Amino acid sequence: MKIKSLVRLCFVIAVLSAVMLSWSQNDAVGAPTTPHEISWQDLGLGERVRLQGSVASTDVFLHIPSGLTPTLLTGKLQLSPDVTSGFMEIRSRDQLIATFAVDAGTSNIDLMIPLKNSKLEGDILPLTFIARLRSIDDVCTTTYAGAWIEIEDPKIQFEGTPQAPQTVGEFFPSILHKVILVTSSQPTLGEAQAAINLAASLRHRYRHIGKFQIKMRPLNKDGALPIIADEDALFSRMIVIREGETNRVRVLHEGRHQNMPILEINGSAEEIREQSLWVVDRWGTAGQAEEINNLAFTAPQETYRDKVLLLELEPPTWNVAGMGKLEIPVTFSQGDLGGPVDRLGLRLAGHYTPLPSGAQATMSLFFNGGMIFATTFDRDGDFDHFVTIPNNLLQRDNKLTIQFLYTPAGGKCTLDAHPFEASLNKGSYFTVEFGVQKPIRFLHYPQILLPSFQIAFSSLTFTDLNAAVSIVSEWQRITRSPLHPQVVPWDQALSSNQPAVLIVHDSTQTDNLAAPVRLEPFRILDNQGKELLRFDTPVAFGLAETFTYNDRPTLLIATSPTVSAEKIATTIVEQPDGWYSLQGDLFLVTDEGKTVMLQVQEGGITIEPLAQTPQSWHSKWRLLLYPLILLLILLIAAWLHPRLVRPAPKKQ
Amino acid sequence: MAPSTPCASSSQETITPLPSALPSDETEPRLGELLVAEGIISEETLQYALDVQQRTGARLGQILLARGFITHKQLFCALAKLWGLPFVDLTQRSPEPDAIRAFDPYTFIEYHFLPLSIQNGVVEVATSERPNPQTIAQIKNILGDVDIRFFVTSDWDIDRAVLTNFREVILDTATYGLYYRDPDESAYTVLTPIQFFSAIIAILILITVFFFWPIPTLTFLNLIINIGFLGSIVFKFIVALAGAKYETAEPVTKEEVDALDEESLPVYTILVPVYQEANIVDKLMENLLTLDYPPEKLEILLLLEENDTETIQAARQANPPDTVSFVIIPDSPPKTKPKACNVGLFLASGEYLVIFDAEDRPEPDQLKKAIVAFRKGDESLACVQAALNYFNAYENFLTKMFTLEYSYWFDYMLPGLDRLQLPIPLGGTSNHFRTNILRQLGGWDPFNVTEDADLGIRAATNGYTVGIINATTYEEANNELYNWIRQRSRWVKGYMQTTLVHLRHPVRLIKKSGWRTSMGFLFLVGGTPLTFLSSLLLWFVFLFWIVFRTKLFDFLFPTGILYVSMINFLIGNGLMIYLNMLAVVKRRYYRLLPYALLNPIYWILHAIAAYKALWQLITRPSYWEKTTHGISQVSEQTPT
Repeated sequence: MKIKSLVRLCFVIAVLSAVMLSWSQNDAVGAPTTPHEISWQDLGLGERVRLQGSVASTDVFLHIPSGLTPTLLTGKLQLSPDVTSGFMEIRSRDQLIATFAVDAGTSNIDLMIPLKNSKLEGDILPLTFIARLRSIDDVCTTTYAGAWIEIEDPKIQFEGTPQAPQTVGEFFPSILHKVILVTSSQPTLGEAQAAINLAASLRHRYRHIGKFQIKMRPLNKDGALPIIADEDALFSRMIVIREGETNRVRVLHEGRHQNMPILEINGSAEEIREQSLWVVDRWGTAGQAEEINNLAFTAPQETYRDKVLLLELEPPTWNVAGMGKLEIPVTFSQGDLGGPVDRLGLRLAGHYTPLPSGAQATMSLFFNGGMIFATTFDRDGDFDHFVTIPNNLLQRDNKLTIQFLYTPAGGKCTLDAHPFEASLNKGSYFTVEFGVQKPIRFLHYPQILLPSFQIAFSSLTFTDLNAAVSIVSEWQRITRSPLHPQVVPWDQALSSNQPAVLIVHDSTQTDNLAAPVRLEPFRILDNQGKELLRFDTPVAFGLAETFTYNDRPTLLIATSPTVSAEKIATTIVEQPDGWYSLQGDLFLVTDEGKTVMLQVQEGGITIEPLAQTPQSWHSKWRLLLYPLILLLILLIAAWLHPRLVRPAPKKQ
Repeated sequence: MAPSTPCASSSQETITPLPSALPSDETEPRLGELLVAEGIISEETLQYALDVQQRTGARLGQILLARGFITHKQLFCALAKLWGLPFVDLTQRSPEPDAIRAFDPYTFIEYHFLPLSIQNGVVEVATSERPNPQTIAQIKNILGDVDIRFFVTSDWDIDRAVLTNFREVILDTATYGLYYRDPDESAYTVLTPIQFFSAIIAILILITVFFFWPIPTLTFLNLIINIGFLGSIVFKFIVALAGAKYETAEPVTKEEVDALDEESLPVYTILVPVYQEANIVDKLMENLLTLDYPPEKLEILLLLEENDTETIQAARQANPPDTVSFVIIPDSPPKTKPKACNVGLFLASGEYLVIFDAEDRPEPDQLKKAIVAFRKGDESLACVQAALNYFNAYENFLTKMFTLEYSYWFDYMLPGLDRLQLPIPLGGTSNHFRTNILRQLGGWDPFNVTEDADLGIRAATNGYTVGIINATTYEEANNELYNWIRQRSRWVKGYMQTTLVHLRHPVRLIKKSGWRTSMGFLFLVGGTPLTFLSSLLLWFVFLFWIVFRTKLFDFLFPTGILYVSMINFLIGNGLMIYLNMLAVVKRRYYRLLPYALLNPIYWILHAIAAYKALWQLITRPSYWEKTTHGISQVSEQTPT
């Protein structure tokens, strides 16, 4: 009997163990698989590594999350068709990682390069790619950009497990794909401010990572954290924002969320606003503790400046070397310069190798494709020019191309010819005069919101906050300049003179705004009086429109019962080019998800409000009408009942 | 005691008691000889009547009465003398309540007697038939072993005395008989409690859904209405196609009518409800006398409302033959035609029964065609409906449109329904019944203002069939707009009542009648008011949309609904115009052909009447909107 009991006990223990094991495995959902593979895009780098010209090199610095060791570089090798021969070399500082020869038949080859010999410098992996190419074309031809070699869709494989942050300072790793902001389902203005601050600063910090996204989730009704199943949990973070009495920032280790690190910020409205600014920015890294109490921090004010260093615009390289056409492209938006630009100038300085006898070199500057400056190099070796950029070439997003053309002596661009090298001075800069052009259109955003702007809600809801977070995040995605949104009460926003984003539910609250289009039935006529568009039902659309109110730019997001602010924001963000896709100054979203973009102000069209329709009337009064109608029906039923339902007759 | 004289009014004092033994007729003279001997009729008249009797098999007295040779009083005085019994005038002597209380009043109608008094074990009984063992058995069965003393009286007197003395009972039966039989078959109440609360809950749900999803709700309702409309159009087209078959096949042929043996013809009861129609009573008598049916086998009951003294006076002045009986309907609510008909049904003695309106002009052979149809049909054939049409078709726009409509309805729709074995909602008049089945079905519903349509559906749901005959009754088409709307609103209201009554137990309806009959009923009776109610609204929306090119209603017409709506609007109207054209061609009313194109305008009038009907259904559900007859300026017109 004892043996039998023992066997039974063992069986029970075995079953319980199996169950516990399965639970623990369930808890570990999202644990990394080995090896771990991340594309360069997700590391904040480009889609490919391209080397162009007969001699070319580029440096790449990969941020490696703590706890991971790079093991393999993969990708697909591609060559331009004119390449006849050459080779490529990959180094990590002085360590040769790989070298391989290419010829005309080499293309579309899968690369697998071990990185075990690479040298990690802290959490940075420096890689240098060097190429020398021979081609059948003459690189001295001015129209020819040069032969190229590239690694398409490069990926890095890692070993190990990313380390969970132990301190506040470690909370934000170098690579992050998702941040989930959690507030109560009925957020306060303080929580809204903190969430929007975090959205802006996080997007700014991780703007290079295309995959990076910010989501919002409400706390459960009981105040518990929402459960989020995320396969990418190790590259995700959750930040819980609670307005309360304790001034505290801490890293949480909740059992059910052990794979997704959680940071909680807690305090008064002002305290969580400061915490939200502190925690993401560089100061946050100083928080070398799991919990920081009574944080006192005041973010420094942005100072006005009229110069922007070229360095801030992150040109892909400062040096070029080779023969023929050599280019340094610099792309930037007006927002990157710090605001809406009225006039722009460039001071560009640098030096180059003195030209050998018989050789020729020129430098040309192109702004958005138009030549704005050209000079011939001599034996001096330095250049320093100030160029005024014509206003007509200035756009929201701009591209400055610094082009060097070098022809060796004798006009022969051979490998053994004397090479040309040029470097830009990192002190080169743009001079900027800011000014707003009217009428305000979507293309003026986000630069028009710099250096700071206000956000106000007619009645703050979670979905409105989610919409604001999405849009601020989207704006920050497309500008290098940090945005400084300020959440203010509705009345304050109306009387202020700062650029404002207004999110409104009730169209009557926009009565004083003089918005071109109100959330009421309207139609649009062209110059001839022909009807272009008609919206009879205000419940069927929501809108985003921009205009000038109080002599300051205003973006109004007006929602309806069927089209929430969240839906409008999501529709904008999910456009093919995000905010850049928006044209004109009016963006309508119907309840069926259809969109309409128009230029209403100075667009040669007329907005004509329509009389109240049954639908608009219904939309306006239905909350009041519903109980009244129910009551009316019950009264009618009481009146009808004796007429329609008769009692049985008395039998004779 | 004064000796009783056969035709002196008898009182208590003048009654000569008779032995309870039955009088013998072995040595008595015959009735005819007695009448000749008393100089009431001539030898030639007697011979004529005997010839008729030879041909029809009717009783001699009935023949003489029907052909106006004698009066009721002369006949029954003679019979009293013949049977050796005293005559009693029931207008002078009322039966004692104790004597009649124990009997079912219908016994008196069936056996033609009426107890007058009971005293000391002696019962005095008035009878219009020669006392016979069955009568004696009926009396003794109720009153026990009593001595019976018979008096002779006329059948009219018995009927009148029964109506007078059982006024409340007969009224109650005529009014609530159907309700007592099965409350769910009566429109006494418009809605049952379950129907009422279901409707309220459905409305509340609809309002709630509308609150949350106003546009999808309206769009969905529009879809439902349009699909219903389309279903109705398809249904009518199929039925009309089936009805077109009758263009080549006649239900009853002339040869079959000619082959009828008059002796075999049964007694036929004709009910003629008349109310406030003093101006056409003369014409009515004239029309009824043109019927090709032995008059001695006709029982014509003129149903007159008690308070309608003007019509009663006019009827008396018309001096109708003695085959016509005046039935005075006691004044009580609801004052409706079906209640009067139920009283008539109570008195009816014919094997078959038909209803004609006062202004009707039935084709002479209609009764015979009905007899042929009943004999050709099986036992379940409860009723045959004759076609209705108008004698004043060309009078004005309204009568022209009415004629188009009736031609299509009776010449295509009803034959089609008959052919497809779908329930036939009976028309207001010229519906011929087997009297016994009609009684089994509970008669007419006095609370339903289209009691005829209801009866047709009730017959179908009880397993009986309704057929049609190719005979026409010509009526007076309504030629005055308000009068037309009153009449049409009553019809539509009646259809609403009928629908609500038969939908009280939808599952039971389907189980009893089958899917086919139920769907036919729904499309025909239920669909008609709904299409009228919705058509005006739909047309308005659609035309407004087309004319003003507004986008206000765009949400109501997504592509699919738009197509259905277009089909309804264009093909639906086109189809109705086409069917009306076919009908007038069949009737050879060629001058009416262009008017078929105006059918949509006529529909607008229907819609107006439907809204009036809906309002009345709520406020005065059983109110009978009386149609004024006799206002046509056309007295005689050949229909085709």
